[in-house]
Amino acid sequence: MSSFTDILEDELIDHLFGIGTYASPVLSIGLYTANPTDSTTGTEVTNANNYARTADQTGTANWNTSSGGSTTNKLNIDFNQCQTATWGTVTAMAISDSATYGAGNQLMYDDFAGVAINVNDTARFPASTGITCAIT
Amino acid sequence: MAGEIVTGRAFEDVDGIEFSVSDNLVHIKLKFDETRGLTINATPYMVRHLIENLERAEKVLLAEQGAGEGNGLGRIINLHARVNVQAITEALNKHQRDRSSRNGN
Repeated sequence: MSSFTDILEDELIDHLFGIGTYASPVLSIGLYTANPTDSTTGTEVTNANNYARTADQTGTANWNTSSGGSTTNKLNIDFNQCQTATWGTVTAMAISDSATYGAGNQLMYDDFAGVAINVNDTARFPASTGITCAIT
Repeated sequence: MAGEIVTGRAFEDVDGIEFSVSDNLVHIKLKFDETRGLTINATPYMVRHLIENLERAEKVLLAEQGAGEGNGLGRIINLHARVNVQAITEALNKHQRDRSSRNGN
């Protein structure tokens, strides 16, 4: 299941209706072993074994201009190489407004078929097909 | 390198591997640097033999590293996600709900 989180929905609604202003945030991607929901954060991969959220992914260098109501990532989005011990089976991703582990707010998420990330593996969202964000 | 016995240490020094095929042989060139290298001319049988044994060796190596048999060595794990949002209807419905809630409806 995928969605914007309640936090982002509220920010966008407030922005849309002139209640508040929502500035473009940092967009950092994390991997999860228990799926987030609109109102719960799930379980992010343990902060060890060389895991880290991605660097800020905002901007035209990283995303294709939205067309037909959706955008995709321009470049491969690679995580650090798993080292020392497994990250476990990742089942979801979430985009947060902070690249710092455990910090910030989740903005959107999606789950997928679980994949074990083992030592020496590199998790990647491939360019153009890795992440699609669609508003329909 | 002709006539020399190549030890394990020498293989650790390999700086690049080039493959080519001609005369029904696979040429595996282990490059130590710009001027030194070792070429193994392998028959199809030898290639199969190498692959099978390297796969076994990989599993042993990974097990020794604690990664467990069958885990990837430098695998790229491709992930795909699609965040699909029916934003306008969702937003309007939510706004309506919030307004109703504030109005005590």
